[in-house]
Amino acid sequence: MSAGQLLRNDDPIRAVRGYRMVWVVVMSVCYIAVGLWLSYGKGVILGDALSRVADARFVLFSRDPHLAAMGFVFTPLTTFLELPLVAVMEHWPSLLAHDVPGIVVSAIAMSLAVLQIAGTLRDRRVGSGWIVAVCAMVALHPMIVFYAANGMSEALFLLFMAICTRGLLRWMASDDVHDLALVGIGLALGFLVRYDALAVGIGSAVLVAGTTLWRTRSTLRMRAHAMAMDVAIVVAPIVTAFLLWSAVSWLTTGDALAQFTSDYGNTTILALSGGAGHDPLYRAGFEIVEWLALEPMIFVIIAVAAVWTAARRVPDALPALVVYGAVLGFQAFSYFRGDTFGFLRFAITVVPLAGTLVGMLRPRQGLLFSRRAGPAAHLQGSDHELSRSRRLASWAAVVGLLLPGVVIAPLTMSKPQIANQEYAATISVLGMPASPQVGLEVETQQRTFRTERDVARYLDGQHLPPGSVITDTLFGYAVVAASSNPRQFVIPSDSDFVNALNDPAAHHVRYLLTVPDSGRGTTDAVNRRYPTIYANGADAGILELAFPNSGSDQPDYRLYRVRATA
Amino acid sequence: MSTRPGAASVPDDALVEAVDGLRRRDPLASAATVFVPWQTRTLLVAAALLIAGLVLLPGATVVIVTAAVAVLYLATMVQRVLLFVAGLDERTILTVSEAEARELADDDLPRYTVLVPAYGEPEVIGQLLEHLGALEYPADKLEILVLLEADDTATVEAAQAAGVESPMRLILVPPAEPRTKPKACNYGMQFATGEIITIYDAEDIPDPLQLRRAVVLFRRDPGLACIQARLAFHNSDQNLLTGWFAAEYGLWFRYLLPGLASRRWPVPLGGTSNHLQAKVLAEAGGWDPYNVTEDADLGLRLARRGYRTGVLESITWEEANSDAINWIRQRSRWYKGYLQSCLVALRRPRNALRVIGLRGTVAMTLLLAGTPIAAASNLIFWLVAFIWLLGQPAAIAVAYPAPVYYMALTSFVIGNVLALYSTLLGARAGGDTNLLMACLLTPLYWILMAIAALKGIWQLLVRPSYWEKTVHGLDGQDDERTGHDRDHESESAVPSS
Repeated sequence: MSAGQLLRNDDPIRAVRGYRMVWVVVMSVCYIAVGLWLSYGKGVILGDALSRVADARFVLFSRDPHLAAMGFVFTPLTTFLELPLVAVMEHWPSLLAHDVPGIVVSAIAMSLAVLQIAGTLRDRRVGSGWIVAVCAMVALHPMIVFYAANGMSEALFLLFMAICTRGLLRWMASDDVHDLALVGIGLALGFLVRYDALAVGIGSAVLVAGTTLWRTRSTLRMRAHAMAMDVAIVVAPIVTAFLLWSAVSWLTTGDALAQFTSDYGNTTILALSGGAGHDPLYRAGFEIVEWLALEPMIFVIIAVAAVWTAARRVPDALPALVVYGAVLGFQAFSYFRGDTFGFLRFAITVVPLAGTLVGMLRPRQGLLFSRRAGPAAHLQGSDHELSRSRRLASWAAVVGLLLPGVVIAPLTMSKPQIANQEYAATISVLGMPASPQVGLEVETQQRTFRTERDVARYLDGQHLPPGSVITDTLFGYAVVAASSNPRQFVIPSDSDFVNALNDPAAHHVRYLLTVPDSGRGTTDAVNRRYPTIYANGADAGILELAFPNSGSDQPDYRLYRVRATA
Repeated sequence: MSTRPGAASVPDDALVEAVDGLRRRDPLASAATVFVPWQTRTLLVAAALLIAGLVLLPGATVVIVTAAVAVLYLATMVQRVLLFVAGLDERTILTVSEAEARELADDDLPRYTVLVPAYGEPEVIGQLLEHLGALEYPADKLEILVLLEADDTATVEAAQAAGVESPMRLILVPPAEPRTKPKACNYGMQFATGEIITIYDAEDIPDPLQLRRAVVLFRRDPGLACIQARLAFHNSDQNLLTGWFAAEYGLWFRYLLPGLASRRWPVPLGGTSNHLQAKVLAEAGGWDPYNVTEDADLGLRLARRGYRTGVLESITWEEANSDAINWIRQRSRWYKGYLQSCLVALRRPRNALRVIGLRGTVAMTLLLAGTPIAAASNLIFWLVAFIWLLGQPAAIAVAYPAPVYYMALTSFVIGNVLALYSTLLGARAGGDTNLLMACLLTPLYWILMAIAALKGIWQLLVRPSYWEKTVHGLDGQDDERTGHDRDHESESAVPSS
């Protein structure tokens, strides 16, 4: 038998591939259905998600289509994956305005993330019932459902973190370079979704260094070599991704770390939105409240995992603690320092953390499949049947430790103080009673981006030639995303944007789409060039139409007709 | 090459056979003629089209060329990654445990012939006796033919002084051109009595059980015609160059060759430690003395004749070239030889497609022709990329319309990153953790490769039959006779960019 045949026949991963497809399809379809219902039925569209769809549209269908048009504020992978969907949906702007490309990507990504958690448990050869039960506690968690269905980047990030966790856990048993490489690549892709992966990179490097140093049986020199090599394999991809991303960003925009330094980035948004708020101690406490809001038993779970690890002397809980813990720690630390917002979504990793840790309560059994087991491999798991009491205790753990999160999260997620970005959706979906004031806010949130669609419809109705409307995409992205004629806009990624803004008439620009020169609006490029334009037209334009915004967190728009003499 | 060197001066059938056997029986299988007429015509037509295009439609022509190169790069990159990933699975390399190897009864073993060509290396004869003496194989079944050039007095005397005795035998190859290792092997082959034939270099340190392991494998899989054992360097720590070379060799013999073999695609053999069924070797016509990488060529010829090669996990330790100039000589010869072998292999395209299949033929072409060509054009494209970074001149923008630009960008960024990462993974998987620095600095090695590739391609076009002299790294002696290859550890390993 040739090696090729050998690979085809006894590869257990291939054997379950069919089932995995079914799971992914079923979960994705459900998440997409929820997403469409939220977006079309409940008006739940999140700005960051819609803005990535708009970025993808700039890349493909702006007047100056090029890859760099996706911008450098967000790392690029989410937008990149949306490109083919945006290309397909281009002729149905309503799908774009309702964030459907984003929803499809996040739904599939979250399904795959759940599948990776299932894979983490399947690697351990535990029973299918156990795997399904634990994964259901993750997959059905309201926070997970919401972020699977709303097109944000959280789902994709959780997918790569789940891959890292699984890879590390496998590697600790197999010492297989495949698994180590998987961790490295997962980290790099994770970084291309969210910067938080850098913290995970550091955590993983420490874990790998310690493990290799501890288990290599050789001279100190050789152990140091082995450690350096393993750490290099884990961190090389993410370091490369970071350097490449910063270099490309710097070459294109003159700004290596746009997320932190540009007008569109987090730091500026934070400053212009009045900072993180509250004193550091409050913020630290708030962070813990958010964890508990999603997984009320998280500290019990961590304590149990720690005791288990110490008692059994099997470090199975470490990868999940390091990977998800690094994300949580990084977010908590940033918020504590006042560098970011206290969004509930930054705590979403407690859900897979809780699920994975509880999943580890059943010991590894059978043989771990490995393509190239390393010298320190320990592939054989426990060969004891799980005792009846252990079995019952583990089921009790699912009910007692994971179920509370699934049950309580809808309540906590409906509190504006805790779930600033989620409460409106939660209240309207569950039809919960709310105070008149909160009820009003929920209604406003449901109308978000409706005004932008109206602006787009108004402009589309005029059938303008390409390059007729100049706007910054700081807020204007939602208008461009909803328009059936994206080429009518002149946007900052166009090479002639600055010249056109300087002399709109000469560049055949007919309209300036403006926002108030206050809050984040002060960084709007049109306002920078014509600071009083929103207020009085700045001698550059004549007011054609004003669009008071009916949604939340979005500005009013004024459309100025360009004066011929300007 | 129309002269028949040696034929007149040495009226010896064995010598004539060694020099000209293959060329006479199957002229298309020999690199004595580098380009057959249709290949020359094709090249000339392509060159004419290119020049005409550059004159008449310079814009479109440049775009077509850059697009073609971008496609070649992408294809080479994808193939490398797929082969590497396939080979990283340890089941693609064939293993025979120590117990299995020792289990075979001595009576049950076939006769085995080991060919050891040596030239101008009196100092390694002692090592040779020691290393090959360690082979665990019954003396009455083993035959070690030490092939020396009759006029290489120093080595011959050293061998006689050392007292070569059974199972070793001295075979003196009558002096004749071309003075190449394949000619010596062809000559020695005619004295061989073994059912299985293998080649070691004089300074090789083979795994003592390698012959037995090969026998077990041949019995386990009767479809195998050839088994390539793994070559590795014992001096990877000597300097950066040997570190690079060792990492590259690891990638080649541990992952890429097993990847090829597991798919039943042509396997370019290494210069030593390939174990061949004697009757297959005779049937295939032995080695081509006119090909500068006769080892790779033989591997391809076996595949074209429908024979299968496996890769065995059994190490033969060798010494890596530690001097950059010398390395470039050796590598330029390898690259030239790859191109020669590929040209030979593609002379009957329909036959190749029928026997090797489309994917195998593409894989072979990408590996043997794509490797040197990509290595050489790297230099040009790195320069272009650098100039682009500096000022984004319009002349470059014209050559790269958006689709070509993104394709080129992908292969440039992802290709280089993946090449680097696979080197790292290869070293880790093979336990060569000491090579971390060399792995991380591999891009510098690519520059050396690019120089060697330019040299090799230039020579193929200008002096197709010239044998690049390679000085032995450690002994520092040079051989004054022109046209002779002194590089007896000439296995064709490869570049990985």
